[in-house]
Amino acid sequence: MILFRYTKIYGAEYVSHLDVLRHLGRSFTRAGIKVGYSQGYHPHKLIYMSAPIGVGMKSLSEYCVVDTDEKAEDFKKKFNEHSPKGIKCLGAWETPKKVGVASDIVKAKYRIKGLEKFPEEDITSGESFIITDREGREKDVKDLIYSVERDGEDLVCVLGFGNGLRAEKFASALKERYGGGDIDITKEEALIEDGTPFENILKNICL
Amino acid sequence: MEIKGLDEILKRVEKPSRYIGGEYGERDLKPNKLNYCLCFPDVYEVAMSNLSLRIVSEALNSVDGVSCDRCCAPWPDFGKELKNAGAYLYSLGMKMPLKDFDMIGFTLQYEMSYTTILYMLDLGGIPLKREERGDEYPIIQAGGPCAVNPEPLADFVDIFVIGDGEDSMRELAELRLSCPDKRKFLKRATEIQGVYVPSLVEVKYNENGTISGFSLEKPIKKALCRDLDKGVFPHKMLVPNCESVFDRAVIEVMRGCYRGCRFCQAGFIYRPVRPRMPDTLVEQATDLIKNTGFDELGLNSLSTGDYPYLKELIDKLKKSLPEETKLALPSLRLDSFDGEFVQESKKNSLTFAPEAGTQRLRNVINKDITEDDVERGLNMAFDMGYTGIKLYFMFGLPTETDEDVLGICDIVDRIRKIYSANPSRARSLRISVSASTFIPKPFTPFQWEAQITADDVKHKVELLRSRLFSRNTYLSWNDFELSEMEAVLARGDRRLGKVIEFAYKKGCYFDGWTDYFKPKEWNEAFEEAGLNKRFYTREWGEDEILPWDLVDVFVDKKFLLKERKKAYNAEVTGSCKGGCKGCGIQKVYRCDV
Repeated sequence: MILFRYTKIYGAEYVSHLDVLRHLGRSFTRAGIKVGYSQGYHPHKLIYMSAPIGVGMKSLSEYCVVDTDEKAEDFKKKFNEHSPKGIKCLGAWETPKKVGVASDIVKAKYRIKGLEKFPEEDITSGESFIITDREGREKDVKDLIYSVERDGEDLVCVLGFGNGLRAEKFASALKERYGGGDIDITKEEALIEDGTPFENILKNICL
Repeated sequence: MEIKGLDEILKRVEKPSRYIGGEYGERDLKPNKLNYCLCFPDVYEVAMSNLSLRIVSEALNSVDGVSCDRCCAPWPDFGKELKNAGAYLYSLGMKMPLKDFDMIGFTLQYEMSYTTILYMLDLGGIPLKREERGDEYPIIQAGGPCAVNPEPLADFVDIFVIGDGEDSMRELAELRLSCPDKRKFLKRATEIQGVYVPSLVEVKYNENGTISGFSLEKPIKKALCRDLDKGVFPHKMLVPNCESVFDRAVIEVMRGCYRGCRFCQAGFIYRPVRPRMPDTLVEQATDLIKNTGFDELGLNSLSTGDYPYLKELIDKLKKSLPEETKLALPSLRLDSFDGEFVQESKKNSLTFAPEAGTQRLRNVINKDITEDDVERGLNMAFDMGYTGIKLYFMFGLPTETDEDVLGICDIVDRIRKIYSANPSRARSLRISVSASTFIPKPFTPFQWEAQITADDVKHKVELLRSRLFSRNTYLSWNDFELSEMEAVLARGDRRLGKVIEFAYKKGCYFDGWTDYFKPKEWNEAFEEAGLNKRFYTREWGEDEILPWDLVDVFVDKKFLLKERKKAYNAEVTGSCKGGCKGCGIQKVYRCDV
């Protein structure tokens, strides 16, 4: 199996999760990367992706496991020659077994552009942070906000998954509070529970 | 080209990947001497499935000095956002506003897309009517199957290309490159076969509203691609950003149909039948699969089961394509259905179109499937494990009686019997019966027929419902008002331009989408234009001048009249494969039958 990290940029951020799955499958076919199929009535390529991100959010840290016998280096080269321009492999690793890219990755680092400056302590030391989830319910997501820092004009934050918290919800709540213009979010790094980048642990689990 | 605020708009609308372009396989287009934009008046997922635009785009981009871009109708949410932002509808490749192109070509696949053309022009910053457009605006061209009756759009379109587009459109672009003066260009374009310029033709009417004549010496002959095997065909295609309605690679195995079903416009206007050779198709298919990564290949034509080299083609494709590639064979007829061919694509529902409930009525429409054909095809399908069947019928075919309608129930009963004859089959068979309203179309033997009324449809539906109540049988029928509008626009004349314009101004567009079809607004538009729908859906006199008489698709009117008489006698003409039936096409093309 191959585990690889890929981008969702240059327009690919507007492509939905399911459509990205289709693009990955087609890129493998074009690249001549042989992929295993599920057994069953409607066989499909065995591709496992990390959790979906919002349509419109860029990412440099999407992960995918695919059932193939390719060597990591060959895989990266072949894939990048045949994938859409915004979906490019940044690194590939061979793994003896399926890695839970959807379950192990539980938080991520985001870069948000377009927000007015504000004292970050407001968020980090505040008692609660309320967002409205998709169903219109108010949710306190303070526990899932791990860090909020300023990097020049940008805001860099680490947010956990769950409880209806999505980076775009977080950013629009901040925009409502402090003002801002067109918001642009990039998911820069997928993280595991203790905050380590997912990529850093791959050398332990991959060949 | 940058569009200000586009990113923010994209984040607010449904399926933003429709509007970003940049698909895998996209050409790197740059503004050129002649910038042509091909427009599809429906949403991205439909447009990206269309083969004709791909062929024409390939043809135009092969002309030196031409950049051929593309554009689809934005869904209303994005359309409103564009308007609010004061931005223009733009092409997907170069992101250029439509108004800045030199030529714009619309494909007319469906009459109910006419108002969507106006919607696209409007959003693209282009005045709707040709008379209101000065030299600073692009020349608006249209083509495609509905262009065989161009008249309802004559107020909006500068130039029609009728018939096959691959060669004629290329000639047109070459002429435009050498002839920058709009008026001179339009005049000279009429020398290209298939070209119709409505501003150069006047229509005169009788007092009763029928046509008394055209200021045209000879009818416009449709453009004809004589050697399809050597004709343009793209070996690459864009891989859509989001799932399209036919999400697969497609080859066109042949153009035209041998059958001559009397209600079917495509069966007449796409004559003669021109099959492509298996080796050509295998080369196109392998390239397409290699370049796109699709795992399914569609073998398209009006009746792929009749393609003379089908067995050879499928054998060769199986040898050349990657193992996992599935073959999709649409529009198989009951009698041409061969289990062996479709066995690989596991599907649980099969679609068949008997069109009429009794043998008599099937003879009327020249759909010469016999009950035995039906039985043979179905047995084969059921043995392969199909447990669902979808049946298509039409209400209101000429000479239809209650007995014919009830014949649908007999077919359903018979299918159940065939299915249960073999006890090893899974227990329940699901049957969906879908009935649409017959629409008389130009260039068919039924072009003079009246369309049935709303009351007639109601009666037929009630009749069928009173009998069709077996378990696991589902009946659906389509919206009469939509079929009525389609009939009006299909057989419309130039005066309908006003109605289309008024309807658009009242908010009608995307009429083909049931949720967006607004019959009330259309009715108001007719009233304001002083026209009556029934005038267009009535029975037309055989000696009347028809609005589409200014076009010649090489099928003789005499032949159509003969076919109409035979229909009334329930006489079958049969397929061209059984010998030439003398439709008239042989005068310009030697059919290989």
